Amino acid sequence: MHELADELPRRLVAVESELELEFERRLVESSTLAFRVAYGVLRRREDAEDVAQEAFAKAYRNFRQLRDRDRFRAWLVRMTWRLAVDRRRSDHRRAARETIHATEAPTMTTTDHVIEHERSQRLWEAIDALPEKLRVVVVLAGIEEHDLNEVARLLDVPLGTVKSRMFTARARMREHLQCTMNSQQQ
Amino acid sequence: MHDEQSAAITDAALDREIARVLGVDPSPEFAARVRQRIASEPAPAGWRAAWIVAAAGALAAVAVVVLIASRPPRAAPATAVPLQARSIEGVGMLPDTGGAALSGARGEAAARTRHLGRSVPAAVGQRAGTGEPEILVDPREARAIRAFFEGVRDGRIDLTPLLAVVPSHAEPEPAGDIHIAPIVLDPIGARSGAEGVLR
Repeated sequence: MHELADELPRRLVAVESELELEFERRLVESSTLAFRVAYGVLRRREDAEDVAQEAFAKAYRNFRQLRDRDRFRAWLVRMTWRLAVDRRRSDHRRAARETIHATEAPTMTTTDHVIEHERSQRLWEAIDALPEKLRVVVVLAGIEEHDLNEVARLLDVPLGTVKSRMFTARARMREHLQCTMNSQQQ
Repeated sequence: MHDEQSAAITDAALDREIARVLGVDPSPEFAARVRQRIASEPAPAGWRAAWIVAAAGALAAVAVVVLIASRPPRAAPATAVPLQARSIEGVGMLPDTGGAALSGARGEAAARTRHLGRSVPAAVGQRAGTGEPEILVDPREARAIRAFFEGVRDGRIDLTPLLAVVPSHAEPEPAGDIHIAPIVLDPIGARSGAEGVLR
């Protein structure tokens, strides 16, 4: 009986240690994913790291309540996306940051880098022009070359929905890029 | 992609471009910063709550076990006869009175008693299958009844004085006449000031 009283705290400590270890494993395997999700929304490395960090802290606080640990990545992705979108919406200095970000480009030495930067800018504009539901699909599919099944799993929506959204998103982006190109040619 | 865009942007080219712009890695110290942030977090409330609940439950369980284990065993009363000994073993040997002396429910009870005396364990509170309660008879009482019946049969006990016994209670005396005084009601008279005044 007294052995039981002694054993119980040891077991509880062991359980907590196991949870800590498991969270550490999840952190290692998902840190880049969370960062890229945040980056897909914020497009600033520092901001993306802040948001991803916040998402991990939140995940840590609620990790015990997550019944299906295999759903951790999907849970983390949705949490990070939401935090990043909130951050972007609430950040009144976003315009100033973009200006600063844009001024960073000319520091590139080679012409290729400048061209690449312009391409990226155009693509981001096309992505930004998408509604959020389409944008999240595009970003998740672009991260780590997720296939659409994985995107459906991460977003917890049917595969058909993801395919449909991806199709619409590509069409709109193509149209947007085409318009941009045409206006530049003129 | 410039050329591709001017012609037609294929899905594959678009996906490649998206993957390229998203292919940004966090800084090398990112994971370390996350660990540091988590380490500075207070212990998760859920974990703390679970700890408290588990510890409280364990302590309660241990306390109950200690209480039960430390309680001295209840001594059986010295005069108490074990339940098994109080069963109606041997009642089946009661002399059969032929049903003359017993009648109605008493006869049924006697029959039931004989039946039970055979094999039903005394500890069982009900007759198996019937749902009727088991009748437990003190063996000393059973012995006394047996001896009484044998005595009557052998003539050692004479019951005639019992039959001749006059009931000890006296007949109640007849009740005498009861006189009840008639109830007199005063007539209701019109008294001045006793009634309301009509307007």
